[in-house]
Amino acid sequence: MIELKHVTKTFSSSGSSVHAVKDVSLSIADGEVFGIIGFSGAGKSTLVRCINLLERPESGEVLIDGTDLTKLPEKELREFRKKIGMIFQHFNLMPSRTVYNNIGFALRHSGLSKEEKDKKILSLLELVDLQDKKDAYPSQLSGGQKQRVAIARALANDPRILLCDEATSALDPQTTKSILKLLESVNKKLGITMIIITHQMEVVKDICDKVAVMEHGSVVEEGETIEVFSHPRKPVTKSFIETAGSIGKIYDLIAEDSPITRLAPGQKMYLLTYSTDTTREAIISYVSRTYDVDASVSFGNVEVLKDKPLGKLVVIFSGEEENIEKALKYMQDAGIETEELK
Amino acid sequence: MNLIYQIFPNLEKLGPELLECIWATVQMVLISGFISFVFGIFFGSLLIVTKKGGILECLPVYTIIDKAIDILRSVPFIIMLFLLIPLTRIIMGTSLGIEGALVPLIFGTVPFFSRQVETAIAEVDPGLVEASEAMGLSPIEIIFSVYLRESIPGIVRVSMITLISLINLTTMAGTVGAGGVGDFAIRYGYQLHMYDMIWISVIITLIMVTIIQLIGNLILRRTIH
Repeated sequence: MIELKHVTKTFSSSGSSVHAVKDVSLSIADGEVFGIIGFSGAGKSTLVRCINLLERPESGEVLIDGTDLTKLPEKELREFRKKIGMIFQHFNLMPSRTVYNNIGFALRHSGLSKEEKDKKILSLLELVDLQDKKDAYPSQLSGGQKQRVAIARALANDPRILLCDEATSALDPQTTKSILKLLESVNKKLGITMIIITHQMEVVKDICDKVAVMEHGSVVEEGETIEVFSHPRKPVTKSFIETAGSIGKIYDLIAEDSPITRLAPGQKMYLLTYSTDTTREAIISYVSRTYDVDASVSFGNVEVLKDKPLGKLVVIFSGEEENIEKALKYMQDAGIETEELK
Repeated sequence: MNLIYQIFPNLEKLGPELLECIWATVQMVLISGFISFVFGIFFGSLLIVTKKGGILECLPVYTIIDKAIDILRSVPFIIMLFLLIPLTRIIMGTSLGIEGALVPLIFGTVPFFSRQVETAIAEVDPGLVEASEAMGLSPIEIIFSVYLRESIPGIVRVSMITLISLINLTTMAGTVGAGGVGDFAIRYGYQLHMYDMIWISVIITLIMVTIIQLIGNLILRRTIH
């Protein structure tokens, strides 16, 4: 259990001070995959560094299983950090050491014998599927392979927490997928709590159980991933959803008065948002039949958020205005969000 | 051998003395080089860790070393040689000969080398330090197994430069009677007009520099991956 209580961190440079993290309180349960998403400069990297105290907050508490890390003396803090693995955007492997020795580096104070260390390193290499790269140097590896080594290194001391700071931001989409798969399987296999910092919607979408959205140093929204993204309350959250699919384009198209957004008299354009519970029912065809309105889908996007679908459809309704109203009412009652676009 | 004596006619007579002078240069370079290396690594690392944002940030220590280096580096070596005579007497018991030259050679080299080591260590990716801190390494461990270990190629490079400039400095050590190849060239080549002895001194210096570079490159090839 990780609890942050009123954590604040400011950086001051030549007179002016910047609030990197402003009064953030979060609690993350054991075994959870917790995403922190935000645009660059939102303070998410500083926040994650407050968890292992690479950045010391000026005020607030950082509790891990009840221990307040900010009150630990240096030596005990260093001991504690061994139980918190961390991976980085630029991997941070030691260029002068082989893959084997990079992982071994993390085990220097583990108290294991040489044979035990060897066994441990080989099993970690197997976990990240890099047995054949044991004697390679980091410069000989691809980005994805480097991140795998970094993951193996971070797991060397059997941590209960893994902090991932933009771990996939320097990787191509395909490699990102494979790293996310690996992280997910590590989470499942070893039950490690993961905190994932990212600006990529797809990362949160693929593996995070819960998410916190950060802006200007504060957490502006927090909750189950599907909840936060199906009912976004803050503009920043909405803009992340737009980056994930093509649905955000509709606003541009309307502004440009593109032909596909032009409506005939009596037509109305709506954005419908639906999630898990309502997806199975044949709502559109039902309202079409019952209320005598034509519904034509002109745009659509279905995201899968950690196995749960989140659909967004741009639908043009034509028919009697009264009937359209009724149809909308029915859909709203069924849990679909409707937003009039035009 | 005859051919060599034809090109360098004075060598036949001065050969043994030249050998002595080479040995003096080698001694000066090795002893002051080794001591300067230790001090340079120490002060260079200290600069890195005590500067603003360093892992053992301590601005008073940083500022004192930083300024001391600047001041010492601005004193021309030939002046340093005489300026340090009282100190040399206290430390070595004499201000003459090789012993007398060692103290000024070290004072002339350490500031230069410390600055170079600082630059070499500054090349180490700050991300590596951050990763090591996250792994729970202590500052001392970070200095040795990250900063110094990861900057070995850079340190080898600056050591080569420093050793070569140290050879340069030893040529002035003749002024305190330390001998050496430079002193030999001045005494016989310049003052006694034996031009061949200047040339042979140049060739010997060239060989020394080449050996240093060969060894340096060999180490570099083994440490860069």
